[in-house]
Amino acid sequence: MTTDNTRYGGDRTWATFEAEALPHADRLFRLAMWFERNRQEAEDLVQETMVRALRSFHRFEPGTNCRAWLITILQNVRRNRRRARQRSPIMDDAGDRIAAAPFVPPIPQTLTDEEVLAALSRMPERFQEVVVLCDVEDLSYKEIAAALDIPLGTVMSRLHRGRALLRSELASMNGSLTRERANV
Amino acid sequence: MENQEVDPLGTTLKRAFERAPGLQPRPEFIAGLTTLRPLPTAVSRTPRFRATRWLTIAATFLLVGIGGYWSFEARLSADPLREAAIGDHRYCALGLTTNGKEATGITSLAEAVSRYEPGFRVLEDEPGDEIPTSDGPARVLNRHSCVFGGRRFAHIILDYRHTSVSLIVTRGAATRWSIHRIAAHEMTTARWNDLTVMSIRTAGYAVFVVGGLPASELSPLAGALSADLRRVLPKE
Repeated sequence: MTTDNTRYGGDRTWATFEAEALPHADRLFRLAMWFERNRQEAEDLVQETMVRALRSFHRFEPGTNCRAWLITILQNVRRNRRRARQRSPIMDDAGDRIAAAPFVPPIPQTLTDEEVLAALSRMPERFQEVVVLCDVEDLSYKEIAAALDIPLGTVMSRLHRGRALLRSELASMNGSLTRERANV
Repeated sequence: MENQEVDPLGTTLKRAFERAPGLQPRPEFIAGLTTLRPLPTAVSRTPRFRATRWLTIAATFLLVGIGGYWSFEARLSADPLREAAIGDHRYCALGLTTNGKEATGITSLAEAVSRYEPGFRVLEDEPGDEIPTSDGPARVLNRHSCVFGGRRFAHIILDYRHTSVSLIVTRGAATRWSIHRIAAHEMTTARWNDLTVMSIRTAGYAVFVVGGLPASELSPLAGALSADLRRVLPKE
């Protein structure tokens, strides 16, 4: 993992990069791990993201959200890799299911982290992406649109539908547990 | 930031992401990213700078090694499972409800077995309702399953030496490092404020005995429970 000094900008660039970008490596890894479900793949993804980020660090605008910038690079790397693997697009019927959900149930407080993540993982990936980038990574709609290379309106509609789908899933997981608790 | 509404869903998801053991990076991987640092190239052909370069690489490896080991040690000493078990004892067995913390998702063991964790089945009967120890018997007061700190536990509350003691079992997320450590120290003991917690890890589960007794008084019970549970808990 060594790099070329002349291409990547030297010690001053490195010092800034080390202070601005490297502290986000943990969260970047969690994101990569969530989407790839494979530790080796996630590590490769984060490493390639960091190499690309360092190479183009002169283009990063100081004072803007560095994590959002890194996530955009990570998503670009993911997209390129997926294209290379020629994966078929993910098909789902989530839209129909959402249309049938008439209310917004509350978030159950009785589920474990594993159960919450399992519910999230059952959602179509396009909804997972926006929900995770918004609710876990705190990116703005605009930053999500840039990271995923989709229009702003699509971000908002996917977020709305993704959250509703997840709430509905969590509520149904919690349903019988609540009834049972009343009997204990 | 234009974001917008504060959504409790976000808090729930963020917490799950930050705590999920499977999503955490290896400390040595994170430490290894520092080797992306550019090395001098224009002058590296001279012996003096070649030596410097090798020294830099050696120092980096040394730092990565020390950093990685330190991170593992820090992670082990923090042990989130143990902290969650202590919290479960305080906020479930002792019934504390301060600081907005409480055990939730309380259900029967049978329900937990059918819905969440089949491995808890053996705990419906084991340990028996009276556990003999060298310091007198412990008696089971209650068996149930509950959630604390994002973990689902089987929770058995015992009366032992006139105090409430918790036997808490959860699916373990032992790393190869902690497994190595377990081989050397089969039962670990820690104090947290006025509580003693004794940890026993089997191949697939983490088992905790938590109570307000000194370690010397709690260990006969922990020893008796440990022998029973190692025998009956599923290995994976």
